[in-house]
Amino acid sequence: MNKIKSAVALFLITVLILGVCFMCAVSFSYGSEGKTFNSIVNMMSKDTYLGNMLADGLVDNYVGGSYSAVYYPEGVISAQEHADNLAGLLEAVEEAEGEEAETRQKAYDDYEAKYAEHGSVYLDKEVACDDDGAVTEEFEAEIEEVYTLLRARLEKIREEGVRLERRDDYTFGITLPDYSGSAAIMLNYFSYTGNVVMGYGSDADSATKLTPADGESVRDYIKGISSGTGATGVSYVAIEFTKKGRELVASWTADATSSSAVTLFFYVGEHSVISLSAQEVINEGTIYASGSGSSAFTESTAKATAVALETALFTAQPETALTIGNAVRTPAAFGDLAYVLILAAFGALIVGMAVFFIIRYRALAAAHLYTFVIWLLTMILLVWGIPMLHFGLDAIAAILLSGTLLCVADVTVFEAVRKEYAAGKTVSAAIKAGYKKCLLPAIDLHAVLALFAVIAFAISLTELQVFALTLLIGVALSALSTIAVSRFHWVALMSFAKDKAAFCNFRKEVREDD
Amino acid sequence: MIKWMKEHTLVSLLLCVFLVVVIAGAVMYGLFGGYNNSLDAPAEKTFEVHFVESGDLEEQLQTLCEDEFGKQGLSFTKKEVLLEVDTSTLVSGYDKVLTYTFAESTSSETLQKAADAVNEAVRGQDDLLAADSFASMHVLESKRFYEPAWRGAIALAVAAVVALAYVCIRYGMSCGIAGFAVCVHDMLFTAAIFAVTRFPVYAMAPVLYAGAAGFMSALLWVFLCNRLRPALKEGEGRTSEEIIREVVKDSKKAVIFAAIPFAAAIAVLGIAAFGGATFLILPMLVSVLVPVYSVLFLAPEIAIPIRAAFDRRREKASAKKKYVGKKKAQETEE
Repeated sequence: MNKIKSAVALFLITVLILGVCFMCAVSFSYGSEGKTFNSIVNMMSKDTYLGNMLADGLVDNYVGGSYSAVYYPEGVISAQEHADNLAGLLEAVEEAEGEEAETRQKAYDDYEAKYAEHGSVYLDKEVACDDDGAVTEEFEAEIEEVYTLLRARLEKIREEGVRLERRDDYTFGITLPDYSGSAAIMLNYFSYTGNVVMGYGSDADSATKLTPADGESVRDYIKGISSGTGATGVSYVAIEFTKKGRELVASWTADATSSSAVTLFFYVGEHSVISLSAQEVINEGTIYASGSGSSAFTESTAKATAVALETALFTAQPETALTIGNAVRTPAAFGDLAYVLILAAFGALIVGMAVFFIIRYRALAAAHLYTFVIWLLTMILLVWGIPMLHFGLDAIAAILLSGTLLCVADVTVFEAVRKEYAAGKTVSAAIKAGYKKCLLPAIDLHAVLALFAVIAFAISLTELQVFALTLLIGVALSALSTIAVSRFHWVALMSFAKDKAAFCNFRKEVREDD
Repeated sequence: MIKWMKEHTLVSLLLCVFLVVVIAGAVMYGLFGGYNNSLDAPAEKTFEVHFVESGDLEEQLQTLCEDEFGKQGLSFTKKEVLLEVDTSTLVSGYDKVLTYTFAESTSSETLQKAADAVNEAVRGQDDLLAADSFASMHVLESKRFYEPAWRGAIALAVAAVVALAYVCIRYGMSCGIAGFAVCVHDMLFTAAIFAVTRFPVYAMAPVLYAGAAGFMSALLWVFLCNRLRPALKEGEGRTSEEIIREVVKDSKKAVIFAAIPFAAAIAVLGIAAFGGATFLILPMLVSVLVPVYSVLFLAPEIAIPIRAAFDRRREKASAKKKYVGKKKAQETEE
């Protein structure tokens, strides 16, 4: 490669690197309206352990962490609600006079007598416990069913950072990661109890609902419910019907035309979760609901909806309804500084690596550093751009391992070239011979590691899946970088050097004459 | 068996160490119902004060609560002010929750007393009362999801088989089988170490550490195989055992040097990250150290007899091919 070509190529690469570096790392405000440009590192999805405030500092612009809410089963209320209701009734008693005051006093006494205290919650004696406050077996069994249902739903979501906890014996706390993008849908839909119900009509409240005949259930009409994303990027919930279900839907939509559409509704208990407008007869084994406009499904909302419906279809349903209590935004579990500290630690590692390469290879270190920076920026862009990935501790571990792999692979190649040069070849010939020698071993090494990662990714779930996918990307990029990118940079940078051996800090072996 | 063990002292010893650690790990896992997941706070108690933000209310409430904790002799492990959000939009308003976290062993009665005292104090202060301040204590017990753990274990086992099948094709059966053995050994050994030591780990961490150990052992073993392959090809006139032992001896430094950057990167990141991230990253050093030990000591001991067996088979096969018949053989002898 001649000097001019090298200069142009390196200039373009440098400009590109600087541009992408700027996009990745710098956040700033601009314009008179105080608009904000947030860096990719800031905007990247983060797990529940790491979090970061975006540049404009608004509370709602926190990225990472999680949302938590408390579900109260029917017959259980919080101590605060109990105290507030009693205070309201007492105030009413104090404001009233005469007979009215007596009536209100009775209401107050009845309310007080209605509930039994159980730690920080109050149990309704008509629903959950007897007059002495002893919880009934039926209620205990109901609570177990609620627990099984919530556990099934959260497990099926298969996202890391999801947490289910039992609070005060009879309420449930659920935590959903911010990165999921459907925390609101999940918080609401997962509180719905009851079987799947199908209906049709003009609106969800007045729709005609399917009433299965004796000995039948909705499972005689619906085979399964799943979610997915098509090649065009449209996410959907797929509802698979049995023969009977298909005939029923065909009969419901028989009169549907473009001017008088029929809407199909799918409920979990009383709550409509999917509405599907039919403008012609639907006579399909599987229908795909994708929503439209603002209610169009995203990958995560489709998954949350499908999980809510699927668990309503296949898991035993408790009779009790769940009410959502307080929901809170939980910031990063490791604290707000954790993210910055991890980035700083990565920075320190990169500086350490650069120092090692400069000491060992002098100017040749620039070839590796160019390669490494391109690798790192590509990793950042991919972790940001691939919806399944987010910046969490699993991704950090994978970036750390694959980044180190790139460094080790580059050192191995550089050392092979050094040996070739020491054996008497010219620098250019040594590079050629060194790379030729290392090509197959490098391909083998990366192929084994990539295979390991791809299989682990295909089978595992949550954290290990994110780790394996990030590792796979890192290893694939490392292979490309070691075999091609590093060599290109080496040749391009070396074209400016007068003494090529000095450029690489290579020395010939000194042979003593006999 | 005993004869074989006497003949192969080193590999027997290493396998015994492995079995002892893995069995002890399984026993500890069974006895304690899993790893020591104390970092994930599987059970804890919280003291929550709901209030509507205005002026210096947050500080007032904090002072009030912490004074009360002092009186009751309570000490919390974590303090957070969380924003309440609308469940439909997840947008926050002025409602906040001051949350103190306590160890599981903290007395519920004492916490309830503190909550009652705070509520009593709130009733005596108009500004606090107007802010709908209310204190309550809660007992929390988090539930585990087992699917990611068993799916992860299957994923790693299958990944090891497939990756090392590639090694079999490229480097021969002996390298493939030895590689698979060390890969599985390292993943189990790493997971067992955390079970035996009861080192506090996040719930998801052991599978991640096992995965990292599998990755490292595959990496280091292929690194070593890349040196073995040419040596075995060129080493005519010497037994494969001699060649393998010589290459492993010569490559010890190289393998250790290849592992050092990984260990150094983990150590630097782990130490510099501080806090919770340190507890997750630093133990990953085990995932680097175990493969170094097994690739240098265990893998060659497994590869040598397998290679020797394949060599014997190959010799037999080639001897059969060379059979020229009794008559011709006699003629040649004569």
